[in-house]
Amino acid sequence: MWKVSWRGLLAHKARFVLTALAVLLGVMFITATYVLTDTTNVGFQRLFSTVNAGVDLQVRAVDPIGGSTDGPGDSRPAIPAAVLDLARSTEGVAEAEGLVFRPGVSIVGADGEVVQQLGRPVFAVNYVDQLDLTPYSIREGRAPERPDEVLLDSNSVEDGDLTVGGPVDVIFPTDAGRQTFTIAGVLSFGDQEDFSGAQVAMLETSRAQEVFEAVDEFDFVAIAVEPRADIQAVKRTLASSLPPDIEVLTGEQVTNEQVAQLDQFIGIFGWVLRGFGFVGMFVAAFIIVNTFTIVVSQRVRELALLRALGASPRQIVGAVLAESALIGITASAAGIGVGYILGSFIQTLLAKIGFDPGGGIDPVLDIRTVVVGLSIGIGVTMLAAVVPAIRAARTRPLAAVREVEAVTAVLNWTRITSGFVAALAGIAALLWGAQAGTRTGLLAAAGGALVLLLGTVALGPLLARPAAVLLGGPVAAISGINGRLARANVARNPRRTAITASALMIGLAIAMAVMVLTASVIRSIDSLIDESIAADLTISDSGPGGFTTALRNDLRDVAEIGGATAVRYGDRVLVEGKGTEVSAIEPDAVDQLLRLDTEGFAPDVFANGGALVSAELADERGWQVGDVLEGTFPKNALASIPIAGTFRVQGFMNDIVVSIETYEDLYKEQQDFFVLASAAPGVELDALRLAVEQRIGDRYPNVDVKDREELKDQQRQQAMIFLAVFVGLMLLTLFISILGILNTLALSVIERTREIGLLRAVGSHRRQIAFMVEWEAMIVALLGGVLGSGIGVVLGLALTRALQDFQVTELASPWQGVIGLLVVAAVSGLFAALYPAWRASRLDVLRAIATD
Amino acid sequence: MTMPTQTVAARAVGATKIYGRGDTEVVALGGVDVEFGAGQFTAIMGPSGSGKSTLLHCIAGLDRLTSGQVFIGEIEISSLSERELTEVRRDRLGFVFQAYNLVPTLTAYENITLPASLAGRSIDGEWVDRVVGAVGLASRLSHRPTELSGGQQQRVAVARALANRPSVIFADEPTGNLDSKASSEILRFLRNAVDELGQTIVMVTHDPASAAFADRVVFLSDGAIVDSLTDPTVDSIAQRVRSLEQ
Repeated sequence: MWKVSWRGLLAHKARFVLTALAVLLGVMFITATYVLTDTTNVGFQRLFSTVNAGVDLQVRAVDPIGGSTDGPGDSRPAIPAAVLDLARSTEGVAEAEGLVFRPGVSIVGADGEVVQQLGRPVFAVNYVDQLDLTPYSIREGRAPERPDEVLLDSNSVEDGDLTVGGPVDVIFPTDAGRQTFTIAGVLSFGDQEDFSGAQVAMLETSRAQEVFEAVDEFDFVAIAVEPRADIQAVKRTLASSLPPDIEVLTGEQVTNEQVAQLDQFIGIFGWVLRGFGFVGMFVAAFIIVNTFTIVVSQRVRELALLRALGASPRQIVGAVLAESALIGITASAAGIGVGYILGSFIQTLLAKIGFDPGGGIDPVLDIRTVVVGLSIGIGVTMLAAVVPAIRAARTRPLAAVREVEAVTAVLNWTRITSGFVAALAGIAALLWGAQAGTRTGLLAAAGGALVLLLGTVALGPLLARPAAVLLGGPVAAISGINGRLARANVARNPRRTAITASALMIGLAIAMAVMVLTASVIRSIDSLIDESIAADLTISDSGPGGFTTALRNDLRDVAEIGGATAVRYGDRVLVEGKGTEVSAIEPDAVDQLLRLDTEGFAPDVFANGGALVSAELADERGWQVGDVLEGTFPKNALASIPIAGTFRVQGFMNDIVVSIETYEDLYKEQQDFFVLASAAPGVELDALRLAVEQRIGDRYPNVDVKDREELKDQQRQQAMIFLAVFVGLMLLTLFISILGILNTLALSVIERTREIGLLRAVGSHRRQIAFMVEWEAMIVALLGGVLGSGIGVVLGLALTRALQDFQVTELASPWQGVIGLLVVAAVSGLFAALYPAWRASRLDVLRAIATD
Repeated sequence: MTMPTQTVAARAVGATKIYGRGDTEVVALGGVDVEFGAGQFTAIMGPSGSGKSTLLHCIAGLDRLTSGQVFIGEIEISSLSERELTEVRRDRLGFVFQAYNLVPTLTAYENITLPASLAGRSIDGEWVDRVVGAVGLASRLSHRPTELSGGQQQRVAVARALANRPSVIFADEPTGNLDSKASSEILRFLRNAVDELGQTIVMVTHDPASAAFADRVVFLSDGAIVDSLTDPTVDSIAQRVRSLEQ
């Protein structure tokens, strides 16, 4: 039977090309994401090994929060300088250096603008004699000899148009603010010039400590052991002489830890990307079902002959499945190859725009990638072929001698009933899950969405006929007989129509859901800003980070300002045993600049180490105003915080809000994320803005001043970028479903060769035939569009409701999106039909008539 | 409606059709000259491979000659563009094929009026009614082809051919798939169309009984016209066929 499969495939290879292409595309996408993330991983691994090369041991504070280490600048306290002396005097230690390592710095270029590379971190570090213990080496110039000297990385020097020996301003996210230095030299990173685009400013140690308010402190101590010393033994000796809140790790452990953190991040990123690949494969499955069903029905005589000659139904199933396996293998293998090339290509593109974690590493094709690609490609193809294979096996031997009529499928009521039940159950789960607002609820909602989609797919054949009549009505009215024929063709095989439309529906439904969500988010942002912020101006970093606390001080004597506050956000901490995030504001802001809607607010308590707690959190944990909360914080390991009131409108605040002064006692790092300001009585907004910009404009090129509308615009823009990226990735699915329409139509055209020949014989122009096919595609696509946008709106609304806890409070009207989607669907249909329409119009009249 | 019999409705001059090239060259038609008189019912006969279907297809504008000319009335169709040829088929010719004559998604009535619909012409209801009445389909107009018997389907095809008031109707083995009762019904309709409406019909058949309904029979063998009979009978045709096969 293998021979039969192979021959069958060869004989009909044209019919399977598009099926294979659909599988290929899905596998390609999945492979490309793996290649991309694997290569990035290997790149970072190499990078971190370089960074930690030469470091045998590292000493640092134990993370008091535990498990929330977010890479550099995490919530570990600094360690006292005495630890360095202790390390140096430990037996077996050859060299030890205390290192300062802080993010959030801005380097000002010659043009007065901040030198920054696309959201890349900028670090401040200290110079040490044993540079071997750091990833840096001096490429040009010399070590800093005075506190006002600095070494910079080559990117900063080149992009900032700076020169060695010349001046440079560095802005620190601390009280130090903007400071001027002389450039003493240029740094490189191990054997590479570039630290994956990261920027660094290296200061003399005492200056670094002073700037970060860490006098006589280090962030960690790096150690090299004696050439013949046992690292583990030195580690044990050292650890035994250190207090329990300070730990010792080997260089390897540090590297592994850093790699693991990054793995996790890249892993999540990779899975999100791959999600699009899986949706694409899901859609491809529909194409496979259709192709095999059509091909099986076209080969009914051949199959019947096989049956008559003694092939068992099992053998027929085997033959069809073997065909699908062959397609799956070929297509997945090709998909892995093309995916590898695509992944490498994207890697090159990323390197061009400066993101080059690979650092010249060859793209990585892991064995796991090949296994996943092959199993998904072959698995999906074979699974989708199961039903057509069973149908093929049911061919009666007598069918060989009967005239084969064009298939007119009968509605399967079991299928339709279960589809109906599934759709209802899906909607119920969706609605319940959405309003539950819990994790279980979200899962239920997601499950409900999937069940709803599948239910609609099952209901498709029932919907196909009425849809053909409804959607085809105007078409028939516009284009006369071609439209009528098109409409009739859509209704002719409801199952086939439904499957084709479903493929399109899935992609469009997901896109629609995200559009509704984005629109809702945008509207929520607007009202969030209006409801929670009373201030006229917002000052924020132009990048994603925070900025110097000095800026707030510089604004203190601006007469036009009526009230202002800094806003800080802290890393996750433990409060009463649970992870929570804390914000900080100035006490006066509670009533003036924010609209927190407080209850039981005691300003004195708040100003003296107290906290405001969101009403929601207080309710959840059963806290009362006046209770004292125990928390573990980075700086002051254990702190007691009395509750100074609750607030209802959370807005941009975290669940717990403390005063800036309290925050400074609790957290190691101090930087502002916002400064909010309101005009003094009688001062116009423009005057306020001018005054603020004059005071800080030149000094802090890293910050932007925005009024309320600009703030909304900025937030909206971020939502739109998210939407654009998402929709861009959904194009894969759209493309695969277009292939589906193309494939089904092309096969239908072959199936209707005689009918088309007849139409041509009695006087249809080629153009009329082409129009007929185009109209047919458009009706099918619109059916997909209508179903897709309908389900998408429901999904989007549910999603929006489910995210109410995340401050998505407004529901946006999706009409524009729906219209846009229908246009996309119609255009996709027309586009997909180009080739089949051309094929149909070119059919040789005589051959069409003569086909037996 | 009756036209003078000496008028020629369609003719072929030096019609040559060659398939393939070189060693595989097959001459299907070797320079055939033939005329079909207006208002006449002509049957084309000949053994398998004699070129009778090729001749019909070429004269009917479904296929193109390798060389030679075909005239429908005064129009020389071999030089027409694909588009013009389609319009000639649509507006001036009628077709009845052996099988698969009807578009399965259209009703009988829609099939009958299909050429007019394709042309975007308004339908001459009175004429269509008359044709439909003549073939006895009045009660079946809203049925789809699958709901009709083979004979009924062929009657719809005849009605479609007539509804267009074509210069010539080309019929390619129109009764090939029918039992003898349905066959003679169809042939009688064709005969009546010639007698009562003055319709010109050219029919390819291999069955002497069918050919006997025609006014004239043309015999084809190896791509050439070898004989013809006027006012034929079943016996006289059968005799010629036998002599041709020897």
